[in-house]
Amino acid sequence: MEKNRTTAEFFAQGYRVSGTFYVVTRPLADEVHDPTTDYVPLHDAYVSPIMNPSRISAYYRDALFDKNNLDFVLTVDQRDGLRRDQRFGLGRYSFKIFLTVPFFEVQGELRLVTPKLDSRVYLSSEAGTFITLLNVTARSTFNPDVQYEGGVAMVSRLRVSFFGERVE
Amino acid sequence: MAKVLVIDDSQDMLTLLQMILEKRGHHRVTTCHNGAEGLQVATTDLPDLAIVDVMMPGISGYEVVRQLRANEATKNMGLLILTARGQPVDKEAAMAAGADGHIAKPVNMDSLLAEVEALLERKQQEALQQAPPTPMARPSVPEPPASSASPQMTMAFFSLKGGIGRSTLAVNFATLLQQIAPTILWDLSPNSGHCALYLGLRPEKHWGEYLENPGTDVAGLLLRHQSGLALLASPPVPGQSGWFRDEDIENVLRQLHAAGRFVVVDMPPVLNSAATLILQRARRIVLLTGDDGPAIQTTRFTLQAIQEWQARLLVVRNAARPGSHPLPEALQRLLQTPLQGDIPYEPMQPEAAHKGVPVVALQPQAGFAVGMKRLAKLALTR
Repeated sequence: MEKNRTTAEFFAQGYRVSGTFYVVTRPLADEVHDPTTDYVPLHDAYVSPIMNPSRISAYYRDALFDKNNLDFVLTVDQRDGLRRDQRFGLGRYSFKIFLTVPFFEVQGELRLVTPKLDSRVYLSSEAGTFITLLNVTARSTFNPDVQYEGGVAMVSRLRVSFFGERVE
Repeated sequence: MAKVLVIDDSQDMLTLLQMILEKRGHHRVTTCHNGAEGLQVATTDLPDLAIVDVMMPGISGYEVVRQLRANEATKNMGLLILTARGQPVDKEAAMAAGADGHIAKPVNMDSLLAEVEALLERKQQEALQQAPPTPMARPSVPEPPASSASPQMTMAFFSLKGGIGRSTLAVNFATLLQQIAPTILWDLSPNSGHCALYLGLRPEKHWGEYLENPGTDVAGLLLRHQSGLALLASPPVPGQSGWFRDEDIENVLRQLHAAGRFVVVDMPPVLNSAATLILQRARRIVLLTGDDGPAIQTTRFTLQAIQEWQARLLVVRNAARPGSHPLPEALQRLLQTPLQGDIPYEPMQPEAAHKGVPVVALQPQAGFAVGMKRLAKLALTR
């Protein structure tokens, strides 16, 4: 009954927007990664300020999210955050990543087909605007007790200010 | 059978939850599309539990929960937040608003049902623990006439139809009450009653001895179950002990109440003078019904016969046999009276009887046990 829609968390410029995306034509990840479109259409969008993320300050039945201003999108279910091609398999090599975007520190798992991660090369020459991270924890910079967890985060490469591999 | 209110702005979600809670949970479900409507229904319908979506146009789910907790009439109801906002911060916000639990969408229906059942059970336990020393009925409910024989609480399990599980339910009900306060179960069957059997006790002492010698101390005739429950057993051999006169009933009730706060009477399937007197004295009458033709007929006519005590009556369906059963709404239409309880079939009953441990103690998570706890809560708090 609910399979024709995906609910995700969109973070941008100090706001948290919980919205529903109708996946009738294509998955959310395909929409976010599509370089030919600028907006993600949302339904039932609930807006909260990052500093008080459980307070719903606005509601819109229909809304658009400007992808150029997105920091990252978080989905609870991993399948919702993967493109169709990614669903057939991600790289076999896993890297623990720590990165920062405005208002957030994000930790997650990056999967690549190569055994070595060169951060500079990866950030500058990989195709696509959004980085896919798995098993993500995003911590609010100004309120570290507030954290968000998800199966996948699609992080805007343009908004990343720090990118590092965590070695354990 | 609990009353569940679901508040969600998604019609799909309402339909799904209503279907699951009614068909699989056997609950009575009311749905509302927004917070304002939900608040209104909650304060008039007084459900046992509400499942509230957070993100709704108008009043948010958090605000609904806050208002329900602030209202004297609804402050103790079970409240579950069901939301697509499933982050830890959202769970904290739900708890801070006053919810008992937080479930994230997309929801696994088995998990949801388990959560609902667990919360209903927890609320029942709380209600049982909070029951006042002398349970009070609503002012509108006429109480039994003042009598020195009923200073505390007598509850009668009654049905004029046999084979409906009356003794089984009375035994389980009394076992639950024993967890709150000393309780005595009186097996009033003249035909070799089964309460002793279900409790694994030998009826070496029974009320027949009192009838043979009315000066007998009734407390000395009580059998003691391992749970602490006391039983005034029925004579094992039928037809040898005579029957109670009205003064015997008054005297035995008085002595039983001196020995325990609750007296649960497993009534005989007759409406003679003694039975009528106990029904008059009882603060709650649990009228059991089945859902087959003969049971429905008997219940309908019994309701006519005892309509003067309707305010103290709890009509309860007991599924004494396995298989499918009519929906509560259908049975209510046939009986022309609302059902206050719906006890599901329990396949463990034979094993419980064999072990002499009632199902509510043997398997407290079973649907039967949950249903009995709801009934106990209702009987104590209504």
